[in-house]
Amino acid sequence: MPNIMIKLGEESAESYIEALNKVDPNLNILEWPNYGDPDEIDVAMVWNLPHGELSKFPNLKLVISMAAGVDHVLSDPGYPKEVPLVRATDPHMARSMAHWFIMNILRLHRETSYYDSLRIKKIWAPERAFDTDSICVGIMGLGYLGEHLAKMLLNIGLKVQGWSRTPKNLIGIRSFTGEDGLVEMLKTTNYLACLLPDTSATKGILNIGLFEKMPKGSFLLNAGRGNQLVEEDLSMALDNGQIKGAALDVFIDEPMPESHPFWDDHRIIITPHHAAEVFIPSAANAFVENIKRVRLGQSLKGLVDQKIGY
Amino acid sequence: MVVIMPAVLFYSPNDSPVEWERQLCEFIPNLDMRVWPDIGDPNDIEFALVWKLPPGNYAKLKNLRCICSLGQGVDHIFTEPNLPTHVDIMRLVDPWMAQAMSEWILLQVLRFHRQVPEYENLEQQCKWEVLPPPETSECAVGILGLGELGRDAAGKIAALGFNVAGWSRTAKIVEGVECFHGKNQLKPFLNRTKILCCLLPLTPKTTGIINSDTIAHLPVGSYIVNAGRGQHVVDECLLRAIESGHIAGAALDVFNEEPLPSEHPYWAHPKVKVWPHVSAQSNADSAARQVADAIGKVFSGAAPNNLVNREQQY
Repeated sequence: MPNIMIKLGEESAESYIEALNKVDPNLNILEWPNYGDPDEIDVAMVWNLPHGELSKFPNLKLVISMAAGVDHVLSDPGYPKEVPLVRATDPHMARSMAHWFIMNILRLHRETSYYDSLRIKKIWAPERAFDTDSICVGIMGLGYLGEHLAKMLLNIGLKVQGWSRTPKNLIGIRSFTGEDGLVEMLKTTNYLACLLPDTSATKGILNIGLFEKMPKGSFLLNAGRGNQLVEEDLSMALDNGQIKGAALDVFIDEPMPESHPFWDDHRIIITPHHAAEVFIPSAANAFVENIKRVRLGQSLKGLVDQKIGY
Repeated sequence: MVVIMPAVLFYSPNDSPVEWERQLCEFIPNLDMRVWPDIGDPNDIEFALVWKLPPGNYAKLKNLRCICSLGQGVDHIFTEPNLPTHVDIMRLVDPWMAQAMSEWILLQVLRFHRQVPEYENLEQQCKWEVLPPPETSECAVGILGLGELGRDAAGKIAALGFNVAGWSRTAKIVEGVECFHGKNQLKPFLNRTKILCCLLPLTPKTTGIINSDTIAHLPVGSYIVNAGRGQHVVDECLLRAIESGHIAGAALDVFNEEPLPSEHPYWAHPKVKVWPHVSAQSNADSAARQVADAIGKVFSGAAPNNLVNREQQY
């Protein structure tokens, strides 16, 4: 049987190899750079593999991205385009992502930082009521993760609408598409949740022009990619009150440098790119499934369309 | 002949009488609402819409037929020593309030589950560090009380993939939620619970239910969320359990004394999150229809909805 090469960014792949072998003990998994004979490798499982490495495997049949994002592979000039690329589609990860959004929508809604400031001063201020009906979440990106989020928001009783490149038909969710559709959705969205993939079309999409299309005093949540947000524009929109608060999990520079102004901005909730935690055992199941399928010549799950970039 | 309509007494330290009168008048245009203490002739009053009416006053309302609590809880009525025995007692069952409460509970559960206190600590130090992620299906949430609020919260937490159980005095069935009931099943319920959320009504039987004994049945490293009443928790027991590490954190919206006194140890405690009784407030907008309906029924001699059982006090 051919071998599998694995590389998990800066982290050791040991726990993954163990989980994968639990699903199928016959898999031969070798961790980069000690992958032995490159001719023997038919599957590459990667997160942040150094660019150019993928071109070293002449018999490569499948590239698996270990995360939902695939930009780390598509931006590699050495990636052989004829080899199919699949992304991680882990239900646990989708749930974890949805939890991040729900928790932070509720934190922003309940003005956690406002109450925290009262708490420091020991002020009891119960006079503020919360208008639950006023929450309308607009999701940018209704892919695997976005759809999961939309359903969970509906399940807990919140209003949801979504925007995507291609029209989607999800029960209970107003769906928008195209540039006009985005403008239309933003008009009635006061909690904007960005889960877009990283493509040339989404870079800088969260900018002052977009914020101004939302009602004044709206909230922004981003767990897509850091480069989708023009960071200075967010600071500007927070200062002029167009945006009231934000929760960010992704940043242009990660780890975010200590000198970054976001750290000290109490209007922004910062999390260190952990919104979607991969749960290794369940992710391993999905990965092994695709490895089996490619070796049997069957269709793949979570296949990336390279033309559109996700 | 002029038909004189009975009057409605209004009293609340938290709610606006102007707002309530405006909302109720949409349903009962000729409403005669008397705002405490300017109540005119007490004998005119047949319906009381109240929150924490000062003690000793119900007995003065000779023609009173129904007391409606301005909130889901009715414990403030049962603390009245001279509560007239013939008067009906009802509470608001407001879907808006249930949704608001479920959101608050969800927020507390997610905060603890997603290690927010730990991350906030790191954020204050500008430290970029990812902690080992928790697994949702292994996180056991337990809801004390499966009334209107408890059921709604339990269902919504379960919808997010948590392992949810509930405990109530009498047997209940809630889809997707493991239900425990009665005194005997309290211990097994606590044994399996990692995040305990209290949404019980306050009655003589539930007062002090979160004490050293019950806490001892929770696994080490559990969390406590209270949105019931402050009197459900024995503060010294909770503080001791936090000090010992048995309880990893608490989020409290209700207290034995409100406002919470500024010298109270909860305020500055790094593992206790204090909320100023805001988890779910009654809302004139969504509750007025229900109150107007009750007033109409009482004035015409019928029984209103959502009556409270006097014996059980909820």
